Amino acid sequence: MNMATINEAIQQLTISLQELTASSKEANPLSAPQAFTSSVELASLTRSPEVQSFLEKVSDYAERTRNVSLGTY
Amino acid sequence: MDFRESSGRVLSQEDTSVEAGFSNFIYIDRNYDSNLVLRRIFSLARKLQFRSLLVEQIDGADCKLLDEENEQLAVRKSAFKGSIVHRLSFFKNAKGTHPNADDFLGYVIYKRDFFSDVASPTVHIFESVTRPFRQKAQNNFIEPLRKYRVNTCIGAFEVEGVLYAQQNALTFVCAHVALRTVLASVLPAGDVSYRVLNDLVGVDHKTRQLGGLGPVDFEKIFSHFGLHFQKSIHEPSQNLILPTDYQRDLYGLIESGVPAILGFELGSPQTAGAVPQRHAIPVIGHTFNEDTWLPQADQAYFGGRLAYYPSENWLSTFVIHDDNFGPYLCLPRHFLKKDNFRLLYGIKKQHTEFSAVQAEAFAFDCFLAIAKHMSAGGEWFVRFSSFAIRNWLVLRTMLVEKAQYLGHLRLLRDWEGNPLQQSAISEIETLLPDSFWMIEASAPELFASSRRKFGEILLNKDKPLSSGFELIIAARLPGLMALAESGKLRVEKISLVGHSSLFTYS
Repeated sequence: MNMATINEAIQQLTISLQELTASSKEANPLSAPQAFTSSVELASLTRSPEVQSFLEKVSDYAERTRNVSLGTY
Repeated sequence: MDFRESSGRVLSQEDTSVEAGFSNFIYIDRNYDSNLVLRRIFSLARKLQFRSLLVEQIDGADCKLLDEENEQLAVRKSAFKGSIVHRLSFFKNAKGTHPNADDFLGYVIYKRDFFSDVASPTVHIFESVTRPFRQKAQNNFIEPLRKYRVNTCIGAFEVEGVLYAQQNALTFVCAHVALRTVLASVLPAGDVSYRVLNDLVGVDHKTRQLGGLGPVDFEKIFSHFGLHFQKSIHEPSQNLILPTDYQRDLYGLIESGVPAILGFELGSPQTAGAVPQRHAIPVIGHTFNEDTWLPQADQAYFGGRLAYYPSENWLSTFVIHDDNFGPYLCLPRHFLKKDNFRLLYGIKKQHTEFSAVQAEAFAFDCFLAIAKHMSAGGEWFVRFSSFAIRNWLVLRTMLVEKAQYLGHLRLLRDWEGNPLQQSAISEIETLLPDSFWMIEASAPELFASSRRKFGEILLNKDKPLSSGFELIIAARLPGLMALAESGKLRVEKISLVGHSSLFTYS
């Protein structure tokens, strides 16, 4: 990680929040309300392969070391 | 009968006030062998503004535990002759006045063991309980507090704290005292004797003498008491490399309000070929720094530009008891390097199929999915989505019970003062198991300074991770509550449309 990456991350978040603020100011209280999601199929949600890989790695290590007993305290 | 229950014989009552010029250092030098740990305990009493000290002697005739301990010593070492035990009790009231219940600050049991083959006795703090000097208002979070009743000759008093003990290096060692602190915090019966611990692992001081306890001994003891536990090990010499930072595993355990045992190697051995020594300490809490600098390198980074901030980032130190140096010490988060870390045991109040670290990572995936697939139409939900998608979420994970969570929901108010409507609380109540993982989502400034959050997700702790999104029980975020129902999430509007307070154990 370097300063350029940090600055880029800050800038992206700032832009998102500024867009949110701008849309809030422009919103017409008399207009139709924004869409509200009433139901989501679990099957339609996507999992991140990177997170899955991390979870599997942690589970595998815990299983591999479950019965390991080394050293005394 | 233990040292707390035993009545003692008064030896002295001291005026320890600053006005009287009482010196902890001089008193301990003259009366208690210049003992370092006792100086630490007295310094804590000074911080608690103790003004008087009651010193009692406890004899074997009054204390069955003392007899039991000494029997073990006699078996271990035939040169053992006997011991002298003092109980020192700290009070806020002035000498000569009768203490109220609130005046009792704590006590310490100081044991001197005499052996015929050694000129001086060996000494140790058999146990001590004092009030923690700093608590939540001072950003110290020590959850496994317990009340201990002490039967002094001037009355019975209670003190709330975490039991501390020091090894005698003969019949019990660092592992025993760490176990004792942990077990005293979690067992319904409270304290457990070293005789019981040794019996469970087959240490009779004859056929098996103490060379320390290993992980298999720890687990025998946990299993005997029916305790669920989580274990992490790191043994580089065996090519067993922990895939996470041990500090995250440790924080995930103590944030759920239970103590943990941390084992580490003490640097490199002085003699070639010698095995490095290991030490175990109980970890009982943490301190919090709301102004922590947040380099992005401290994000939980999954690769592919996916990341979030674990709330562990704001942990400043772990609060520990160390049997070499004393109680309620602060171990800086990064002082003990992963290179030296070897073993971590955390006691879990209930069984879980996966750890806090895994729950948190999975929850991150859930929050990301919700941010991408749902809309609540409100400003604060969009703000949550921005933080989630841009890798700026802060996540905090705890194991909570149904009643605790429902109590939390009833107290919630958003920034405009809107509560969560009772109908939403009633609906979610029907879905809740007795206990579950709760992962709170927040933003850096919202979490650390305001102690508030966007919302939380609840995960079923009893199903395997392979269940995927079926693990979701419910999610509450600004303006919406998503409830698991037959392969989908049914989403309801809620009156809480902004951020709300973080969960705390009461």
